[in-house]
Amino acid sequence: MNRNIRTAGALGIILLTSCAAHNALEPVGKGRTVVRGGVGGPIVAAFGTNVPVPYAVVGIQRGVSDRVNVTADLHLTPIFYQMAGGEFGAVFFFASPQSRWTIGLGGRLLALGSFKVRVEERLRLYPILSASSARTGMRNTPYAGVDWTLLPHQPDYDEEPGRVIASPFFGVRWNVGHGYRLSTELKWHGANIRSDQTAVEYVQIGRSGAIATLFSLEWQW
Amino acid sequence: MVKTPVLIALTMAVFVAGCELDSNLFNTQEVDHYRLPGNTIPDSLIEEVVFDSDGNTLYGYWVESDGKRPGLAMLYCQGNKHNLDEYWDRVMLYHELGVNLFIFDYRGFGRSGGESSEDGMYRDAEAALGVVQSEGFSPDSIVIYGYSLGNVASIYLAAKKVKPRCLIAEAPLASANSLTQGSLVLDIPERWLTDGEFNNAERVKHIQTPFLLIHGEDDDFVRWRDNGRVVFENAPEPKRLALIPRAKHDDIPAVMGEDAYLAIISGWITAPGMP
Repeated sequence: MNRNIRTAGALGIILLTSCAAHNALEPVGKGRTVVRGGVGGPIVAAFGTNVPVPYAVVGIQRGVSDRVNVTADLHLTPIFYQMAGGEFGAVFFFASPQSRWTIGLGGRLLALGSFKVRVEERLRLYPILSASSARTGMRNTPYAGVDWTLLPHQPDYDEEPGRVIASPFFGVRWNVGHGYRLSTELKWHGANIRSDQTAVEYVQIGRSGAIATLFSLEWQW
Repeated sequence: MVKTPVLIALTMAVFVAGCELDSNLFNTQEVDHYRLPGNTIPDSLIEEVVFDSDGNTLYGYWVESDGKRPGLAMLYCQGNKHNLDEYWDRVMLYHELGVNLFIFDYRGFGRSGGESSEDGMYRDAEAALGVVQSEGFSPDSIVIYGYSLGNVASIYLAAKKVKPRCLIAEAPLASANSLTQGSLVLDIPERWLTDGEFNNAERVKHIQTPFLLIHGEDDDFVRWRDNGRVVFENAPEPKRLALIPRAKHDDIPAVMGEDAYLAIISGWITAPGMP
């Protein structure tokens, strides 16, 4: 076989975990809202070079208290595969809104569905837990964290599947003015999963995971 | 300015048409003529064959035995890369076995007309089998060999159409689903990303012929664990496994040595108990 399917198959890979730069870095504030659009994904070998998969999402984050944000994201790229994808969850922040360091623990549910004909099963749900820390109070905000995606189902052919996908990340959220902020992030999707024997040719560390570049533009009011 | 109804129509078109990964399984490359790169087989033993499959004109090559095993014919179902030129080094290798050999391009590949599809592969494999039989070979003198995606065609033939002398599968995928699940890590249900099944894992249960599976333990594309292993376990007896350490998807002869590679195949197609 060849790299052709490796390229195409990659269009779906980012489904496996969250699909945009991490944006729950600090409490939004009760009653306040942040909207965002994001693009990016794992870097794959394609067209004779390495390119990031253009996976797009839009999302919203709203503060329901001084320490809790709720989040919702809609995945746009799966639409081209007659699939629907969305994430819904909440993040709790341990530090106070005035702290220079924030620590957030979140949980969300990744829901994937198919609206193709001739499909027997139409919905899959994947819980995702995340932890992150950010240095706030500066013009720009560096941050780091990790996502754990839980796999409740058994793959059809793999007797030794992973049960949790760990994906550490770090990035910087840049304040670009007028209420807009741009997040740039590097993420190691599936850092605990071997990825050197798959139909998609990822950029890996060791023989595991897929390095992803993620970008997100958000606006708060 | 784009009107809202136009945007809605475009969006609906995307929804209705969708994208499939199936077409990406077929990495076709059309050519005006075949180069048969590096060929060392005497021209007198090579014959171009033009045949029909469902109204599509297909091209292949019949390579006559060098005289060592003229009573055996190998039908070689190649992988998905470009066209049969990519596999001519294999043809030269198998020619050393002394068997007759037929290699062909599926529809959409090389000079063969038509558009590639899973069903088309099955029809083309049937037509290719017809070519071999028309050369005077009965099923018990035909070895069917599949490589990579070509196993979809070869296993189909052995399961549904003919009881050959034996079936050899090199680096088979278990199914389209095994490829997508393995790549996504997520257990995406079958048919979410592909329309075709390419289901060797199920179909191999129905073969009634000795089965040899060769797979690279370090296959970097069709992972042994959830592909070759599954196909092998599902295949009925008699069967034999050659799991090659350190070999990847397309370098088994190089890694184990061509002589050792040919010895495995030679030993299988002439094994005691064969017809």
